[in-house]
Amino acid sequence: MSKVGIAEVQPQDLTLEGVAERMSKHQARIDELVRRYPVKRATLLQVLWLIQEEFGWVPRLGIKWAAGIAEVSPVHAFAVTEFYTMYKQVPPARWHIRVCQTVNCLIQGSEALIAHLEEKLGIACGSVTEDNLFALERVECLAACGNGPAVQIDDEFLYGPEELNQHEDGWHTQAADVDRWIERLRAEAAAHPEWETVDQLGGIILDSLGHPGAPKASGSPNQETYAAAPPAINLNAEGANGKITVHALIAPECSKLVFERSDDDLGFSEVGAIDPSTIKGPPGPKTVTFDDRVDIGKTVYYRAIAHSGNRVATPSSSIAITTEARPEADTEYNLKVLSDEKSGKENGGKKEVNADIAQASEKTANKEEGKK
Amino acid sequence: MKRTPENCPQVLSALFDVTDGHTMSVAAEHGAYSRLETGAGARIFGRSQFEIIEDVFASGIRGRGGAGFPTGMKWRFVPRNGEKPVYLVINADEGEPGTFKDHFIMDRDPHSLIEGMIIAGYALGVRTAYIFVRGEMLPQIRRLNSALQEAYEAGFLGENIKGTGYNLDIYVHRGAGAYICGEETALINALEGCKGQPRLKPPFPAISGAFESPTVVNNVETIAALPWIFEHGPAAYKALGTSMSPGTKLFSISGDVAKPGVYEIPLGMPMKEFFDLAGGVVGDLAGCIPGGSSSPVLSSDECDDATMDYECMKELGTMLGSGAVMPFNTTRDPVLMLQTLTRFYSHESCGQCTPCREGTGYADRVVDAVVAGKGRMGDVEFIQDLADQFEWTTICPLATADAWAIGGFLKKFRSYFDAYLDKSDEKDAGRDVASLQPGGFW
Repeated sequence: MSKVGIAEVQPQDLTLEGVAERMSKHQARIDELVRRYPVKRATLLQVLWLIQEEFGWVPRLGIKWAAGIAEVSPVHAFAVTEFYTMYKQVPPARWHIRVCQTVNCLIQGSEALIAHLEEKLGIACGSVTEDNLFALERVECLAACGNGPAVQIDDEFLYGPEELNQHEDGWHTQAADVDRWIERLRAEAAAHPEWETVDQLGGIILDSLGHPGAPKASGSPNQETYAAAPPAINLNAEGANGKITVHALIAPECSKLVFERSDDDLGFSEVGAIDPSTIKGPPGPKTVTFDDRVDIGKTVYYRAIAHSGNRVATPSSSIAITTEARPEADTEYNLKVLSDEKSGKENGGKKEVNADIAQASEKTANKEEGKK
Repeated sequence: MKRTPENCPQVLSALFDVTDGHTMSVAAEHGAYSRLETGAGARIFGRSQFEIIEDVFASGIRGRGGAGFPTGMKWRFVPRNGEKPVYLVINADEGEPGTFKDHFIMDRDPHSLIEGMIIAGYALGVRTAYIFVRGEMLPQIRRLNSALQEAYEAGFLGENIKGTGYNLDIYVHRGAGAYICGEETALINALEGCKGQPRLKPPFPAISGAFESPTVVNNVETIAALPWIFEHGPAAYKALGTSMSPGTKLFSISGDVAKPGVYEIPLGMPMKEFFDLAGGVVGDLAGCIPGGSSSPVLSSDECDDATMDYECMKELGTMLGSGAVMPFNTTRDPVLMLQTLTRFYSHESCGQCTPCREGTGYADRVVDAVVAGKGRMGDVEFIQDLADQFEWTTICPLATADAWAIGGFLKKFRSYFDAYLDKSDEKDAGRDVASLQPGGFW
C-alpha cells in the first residue's frame, strides 16, 4: 500500500533465529496447525497470519521462517505472501482503516466518505498519517453492503452506532461515526502508547486430534463402523402385457440386489438377484429393474434387499400389486399397484396407482404401429 | 426486523433476530442439534449414508454460492469409502459484491452451519472438514471458533460422536484477501497453502480436490439449510419455491432500497414484491443487479416481470447468482457503476490466464478514459469487443463475469455512455490503443 521499497524497510538487526525466538510463544498454535492438515504446506497462510500477529506485519525473514514451518521453498512462501492482499509487507500504522469502494458502496456514498476521511486525516488513500496512527485504504467489497459504505478498522467492522462489530440492520456509516471512532482511537493512543496484539486466527481450538492419518487421530471414517448398510429405496412397479416390472434405487456400493415376493406380505421368498456391476451408467446410485409374471387375480408383494459386500441392509418396505383380468380379449391381465414404498412407509396409507392406463395406451400405440 | 413474507417458513433466518442466537444454549432452545439424536428412528445417526444423500437430492436444494448446481447431485458422485479420505470444505469466502448473507449466518447462527456440516460429513464419510473464511471476516472467525468449542464440549464433534462411532473434526481456515478464492478450486489451492488460482477441470473436486482427495465444496447457506430439511423432510422443502428452484433462499439487498439487509424468501417470488418487503425502492427504479456483480444488470422494465428464481433469471439473460440484489434509481450514473466493476475484476484477476489478466485491465483502462472525459467515438463498441474476447476463454469464470457486467451495462444503459463520449473533447480522435494496451501501461 505504500511506495516504500520493501527491501529498505526490513529491520537490520532481525535474524532468522530472532524470528524463531519471537515466534516460540506461539508454538502451541503452530503444533495445532501442523496437526490439522495432511501436508505441512497447508499451514502456510495461517503461519503467515501468526507472523503478522507477532510483528504487526510480515518481514522478509518472517516469510522465510514460515516457509521452514510449512516445508516449502522461501520463494513459494514469498509468492503466496505477494498474492494475497492482507499480508502487510511494510511496517504498518497502528490502525488500518479500510473503506469499500465497490458498486454497492459507491451508490451508498463511499466516495464522499473517502473524501471526508482524506481531509480529516490529512492523507491520501494508500498512505499513513504522520503520527503513524492511521492508514487509509480503498478496498473492494467487504461483504457488509447492507450497512454501506462499508468500513473496517483493523479487523473489526463498523456497522452499528456504538461498538465495533455490533451489527444493526439498516444502519449506514456516516462521516460523523468514523470521526467519532478516530477521536476515540486517538484518545486510546494517548492513554495506551503500547500497541495491543489481536489473535489473528480468532481463537482456534488447540487440542484437536488432527486430520486422518495424524498420529493421534483415527483414520478415515469407514461407514461400516458407524452407518447402516445402504438399503434399496424408492421401490415401485409398473406393468404391461402381462409383465410386472419392479424397480428400485440402490447405492453405488451395493454389490447385489435380491428381489423377494410374498403372497401375504409376511413370508417372502427370493425370486431373483441382480448384480449391479452389470448395469452400465455413470458413477453414483443406480436404478435396478426386475421382471416377473404372476397369475391373474392375485395380489402379490415385492421387496428388495441390498447387499454391500458382507453387509446386508434392512429390506425395503414392500409394495403390493394386484393383477386384474382386463376386458380386452388380447390382454392377459391388468396391474394395480396398491402401495408404493414411500407412502407405505411414511403414513401407512395405501396409495393406489392405477397402472393399467399407461399400459393400455402403450398397447394401443403398439397396435397402431403394427398396422402401419 | 421482518425478514420473510407471510407464510414463509424461516429455514435459515429463524435465529437471526434472537438475542444470543449464536450461543449453543439459545440455539438449542430453538432446536439446534436436535436432528442428531440417536436410537431407533434417528434421522441421521444410524441411517445409511445413501439414504441421507438421497434425501438431500429429493429436497431439490441447489448450491447457494452462485452456480446453483443441485447439491444432492454433487454428493451422489463422490467416491465415499474409498482409500482416500473425503474432505468437506465450506466456502465462506463471501466476496461477490453485494453479498452479505453468509456473513449473517456466521454471525448470528453459526450452529446451523455446524449441525449441517455434521449431517453432510456423516453422509459423505468425512473425517476432517474445513471452513474457509475470507480473511476480512475475523469477527466471524471468532464466532465460529467459539461455536465449535461449544459443539466439541457438547460431544457433537471429535471422536465417537454421541456413541455412534462417527468421528469428525472441523477446522476454520482463514483466507488472506482474494476474491477469486470463492471459486472452489482456487479455494482448495488457498487451503493447501498456495496462491489462490483456479485449477483446470476435470478432475472435479468431487473426484480429486483438496490434498488430491475427493472433496465436496459447499456454500455456507447450502449447508445451513440441512437441519431444517431433516427436521421437516425433503418433501416439505421441495414444496417451497418453484418446481425447478425449490426451497427458500437468503437474499442480501442493498443500494437504493429503504430497508437494506438479509431477507429470506421462497424462490420464485416476484422481484417487485421482494422490493416491497425490503421497504420499497427509494426514488425511481432505473435498474437492478439481481445476483451479485457478476450477473448482468436488468433494466427497470425487466424488473417488472422478473421472479426471483434460477429459471426466470436465466431467461432474462442474467443469473440468480449468490442472491445479492442491488436496485438503483435514476439519479445514479451507470457509467461510474460499471467503472467500479471493471476495476474490481481487473484488481481481482488472479493473473493466471492471459485473456483475463490483460483483458480485464485493458477494459478497465478504457472505461477509466471514458469517465475521465477522454473517450473516443467507438469506445463503447471497443469495450464490448474486448469483453467478447475474454468471455469464456479462461480457466475460471472471473473474466466471463466481467464480460457479462460490461455487456449488461453497455446494452441497457448505452445512452449514459454516449453522453460521456459526447462531452469528451477527444471524441473525434481515433482510439490510440497503444497507451492503454497491456504492456503499454508499464
